[in-house]
Amino acid sequence: MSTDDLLKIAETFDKNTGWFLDFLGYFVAIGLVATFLVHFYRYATGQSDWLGRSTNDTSQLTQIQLDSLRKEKEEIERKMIQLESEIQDLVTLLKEKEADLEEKTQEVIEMVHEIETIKSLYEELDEKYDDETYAMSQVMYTADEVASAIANEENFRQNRADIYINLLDYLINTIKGFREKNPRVVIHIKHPKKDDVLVHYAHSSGHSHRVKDYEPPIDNSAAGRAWRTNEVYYVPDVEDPQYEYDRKAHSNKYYRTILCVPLKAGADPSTRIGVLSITGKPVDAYEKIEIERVMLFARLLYPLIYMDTKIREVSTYG
Amino acid sequence: MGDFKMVPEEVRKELNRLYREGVITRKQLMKRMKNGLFDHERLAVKEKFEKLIEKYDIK
Repeated sequence: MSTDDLLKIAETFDKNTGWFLDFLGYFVAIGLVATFLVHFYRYATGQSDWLGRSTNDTSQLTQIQLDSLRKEKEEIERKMIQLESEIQDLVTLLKEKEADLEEKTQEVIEMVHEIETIKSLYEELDEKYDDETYAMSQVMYTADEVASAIANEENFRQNRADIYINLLDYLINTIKGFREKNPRVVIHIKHPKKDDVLVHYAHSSGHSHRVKDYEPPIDNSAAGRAWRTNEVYYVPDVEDPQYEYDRKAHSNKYYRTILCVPLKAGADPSTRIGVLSITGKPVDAYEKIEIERVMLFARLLYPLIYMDTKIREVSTYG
Repeated sequence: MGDFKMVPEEVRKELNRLYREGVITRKQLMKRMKNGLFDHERLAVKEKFEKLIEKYDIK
């Protein structure tokens, strides 16, 4: 179809339907104006942009994103609260564990101290045990030599002084601190002729020859007191006037302590044959255990002295 | 029963002399005089104790 044909159709249509075109023209014009007004109104109220695109879609999209972000934020905040709570729990647990650890550490320290104390106590006990077993060995040797002396009378008579020095050395060996205490032992027995004094019988090493000359009075001497009472008499300080001691006879003292043990069998006073005395250089030189050991040796020596003085009636002068 | 033997009398006298003269200490006198006598139980206990203490490494 050519342009001319189209123009012919339009002329025909114009001749036959003139009112319709006018109507169509007005209709289109009104439609365009209405469309423009609507578009302008939407643009002015922000419902669309200048190209006519709806702004509702964007805000709707942003809202969804905001909602999503808000939810994420809330979720994160909830997790943070949960994490903070967990951290708090962990901190509390850590503190509890630290307290437990501190307590256990303290317990371990205390246990170590206790073990050290036990070790120290054991060492002290072992030292005493060692000393006791050593004292036992000295008792055994003393008993052995007392038995030998009784069994071999001739040898005993010939070597009595040496034998007693040796026997009394065993007693002195059981005393702790030999160098400091300088223990010396002397045995006195009942005087054969005088009733008011005792007489020398034997002594340990360390004495001068004058020890044989001293005769302790029955009254007012430590040995005399032990003899009279038949009981152990311990003088921790010979310079203390409350104790019975022969001060006049000992002006140049080399000792401050004296222990006197009666030589007896049991509690019967009639069995009493003498007094064993041991001196010590310092004041209160002897411990209880040492006093007990002196008592033990006094009993160990009793049979030999008894045999020598009572049964065989040998000289009482050593 | 442990290892011990009584020290002969002459040796004991010599030990007494050495101790009096300060040549040997009381510890040495004790050890040589005992020579294990009456000491086996103490030493056995001491050995046990020292093993126990070693476990805790306490000097």
